Amino acid sequence: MSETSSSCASDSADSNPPWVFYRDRPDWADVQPLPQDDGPDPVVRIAYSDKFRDVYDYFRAIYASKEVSQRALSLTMDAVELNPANYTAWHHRRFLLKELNADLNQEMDYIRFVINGNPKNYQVWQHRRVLVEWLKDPSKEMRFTEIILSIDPKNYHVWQHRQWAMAAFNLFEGELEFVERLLEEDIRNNSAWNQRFFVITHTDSHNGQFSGDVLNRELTFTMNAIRKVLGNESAWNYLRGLIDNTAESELTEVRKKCSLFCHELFEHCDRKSNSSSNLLGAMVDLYCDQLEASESGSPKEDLAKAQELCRILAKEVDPIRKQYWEFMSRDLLVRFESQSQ
Amino acid sequence: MAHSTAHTPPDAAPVSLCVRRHAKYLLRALQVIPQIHESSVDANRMNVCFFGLSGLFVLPDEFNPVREQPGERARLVQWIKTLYVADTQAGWAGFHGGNTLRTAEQGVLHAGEHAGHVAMTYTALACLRLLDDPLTGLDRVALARGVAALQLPDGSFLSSAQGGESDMRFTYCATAISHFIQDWTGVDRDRAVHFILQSISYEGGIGQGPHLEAHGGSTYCGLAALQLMDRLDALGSVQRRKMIRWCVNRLNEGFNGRPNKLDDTCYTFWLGGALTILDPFPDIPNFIRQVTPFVLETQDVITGGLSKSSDGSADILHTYLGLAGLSLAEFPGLNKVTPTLNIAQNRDHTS
Ligand SMILES: [Zn+2]
Repeated sequence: MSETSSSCASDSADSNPPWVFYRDRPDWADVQPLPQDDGPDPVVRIAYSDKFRDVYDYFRAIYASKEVSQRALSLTMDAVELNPANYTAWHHRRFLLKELNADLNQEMDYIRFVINGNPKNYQVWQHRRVLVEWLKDPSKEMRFTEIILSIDPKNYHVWQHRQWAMAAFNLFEGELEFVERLLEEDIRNNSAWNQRFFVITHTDSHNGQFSGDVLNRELTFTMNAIRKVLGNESAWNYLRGLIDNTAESELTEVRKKCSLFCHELFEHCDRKSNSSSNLLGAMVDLYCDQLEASESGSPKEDLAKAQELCRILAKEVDPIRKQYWEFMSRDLLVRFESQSQ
Repeated sequence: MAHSTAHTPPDAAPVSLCVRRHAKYLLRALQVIPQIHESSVDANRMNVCFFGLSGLFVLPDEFNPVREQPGERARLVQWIKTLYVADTQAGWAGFHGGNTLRTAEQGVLHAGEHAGHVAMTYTALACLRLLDDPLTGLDRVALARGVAALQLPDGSFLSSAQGGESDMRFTYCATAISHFIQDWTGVDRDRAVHFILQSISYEGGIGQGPHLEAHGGSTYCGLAALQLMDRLDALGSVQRRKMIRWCVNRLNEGFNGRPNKLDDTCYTFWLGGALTILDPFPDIPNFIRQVTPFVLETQDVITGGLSKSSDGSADILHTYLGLAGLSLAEFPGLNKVTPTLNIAQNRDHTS
């Protein structure tokens, strides 16, 4: 296959040979182009360029005839380059790849090139996923997604693809270290925190429940992160995620540990600063947990403390969420008033 | 493009909503898309049509030239229906996003082999609802079958019967389509609910699928789908509380879509919609209203349109979602948007 050298992939490169319309190509003379019919009075009419019109007129022709040929395959490359979001053009390209029994490794190189230019397009990632499935070869996925993540470590498409490959081909080894590196670079990278949860859920949990050394390791890691940046919502959410997925037998102990941690922070933090809002919110939640589990030795006081935190949040620390914290305070009263009498 | 100069400098007086200019911007999008956008728009023209039309119906009536013009409404309906495709053998139907495959000689090429794209079917039916079209000429049973053909064993939905990705967006589209055609035979609701619940992340919000990061867009899609299926009560009390916390925490000057990400105009609707559906405490519009200054700062006061941030350039998606979000905040003069359907409420009959 000399596909890449004959078409747009090299057209846009430095050599820049002049573009020849399909209608002027002798080797396409046998094909009758099929113009688009957009109805008598189209809406969202597109002022197509000559090139776009020409390529798609011929695309329609080979789509209609279902011609299986190298030239058809190469034409789909021009079609998707002009519009990487055209799901029909991608679908037809895959049809041709299959029919031609084409070299899929070469196609992997091609899609790498396309994704580099369009890392936030749904269709290009879908194409890559299908190729990996066809090849049953995920060996390039971890490295490739790592490279694309280095441009934007929060690109949702990349994480989605990476998680898919990891789950489908069991590629969890080394991922925790990778995530740790990303968090070292940016401790606020929420995608990396989520990936951490994804990894430990798959490798270190019993049906999604954490316990023992793993749980302790994760609690320590998260608490250290919070000590570094108090107002980091990502880390607080992770801590809450750990508590909510702690094995029943260790729950009481974990809650105590977290309570202690929070109270320690509370002693030293600037209670009027917005950076304390996550801390105060977590303390409200921990009081709720205790009341809910009837673990509180003094429910009346705990309820009062939780409500006082809500009041501080509403008034001083987190006034943009005043309505929410006032609702929380009322909600607490409804839920736990009877207990605290 | 000299968009940066078009924004009001921060020290100027608070800007108002440039309703007239936005109306022109939305109308222009419904007319001609310039060549430079051909690559991004051609397969998504139905979405552009939806954003433009739905935006006009959010604006005050006197700025909406479509509402009272039967000729223009008929033209829109006619074009939207050129994108309708039916697979006669399988009995499926749906809509395409553009006319890539439509020719004068042969009609829609191999129309019998595909039934469109579920997102385009949703936006097409939403537009037809806005235009009060009774779905003449469309086969509702086939549309429901088209939806059914997309549901996977895990409860999620594919984008198209030709394959393609499956995520929370399409769960939403499938339920909105079922609502519009008043036929729920295309959705196995128990499985769809299961998929949504599986996609709730440890953070509290909903991701595009299981284990994925919670995201404002997918949280809206999941909640709206639950509401449309009348299954909002499938959220347990702990899930609901965490979901509310995650949603309210998205509020900064504007809403962001994930923790530690920048605020963005489009989340005014996604998070505003999610909170309106959850309805956790009194006066949600007042809560959303806090982002009004942020959203107004993203207006291009010269060309019309809204951008994702004050230093970006306007686009049709952010224009529509910004306006729809302001509507949820009950911005004076704007028509009310139905949060689950993401279109202005029809005042003639309840939806
Ligand atoms: Zn946006």
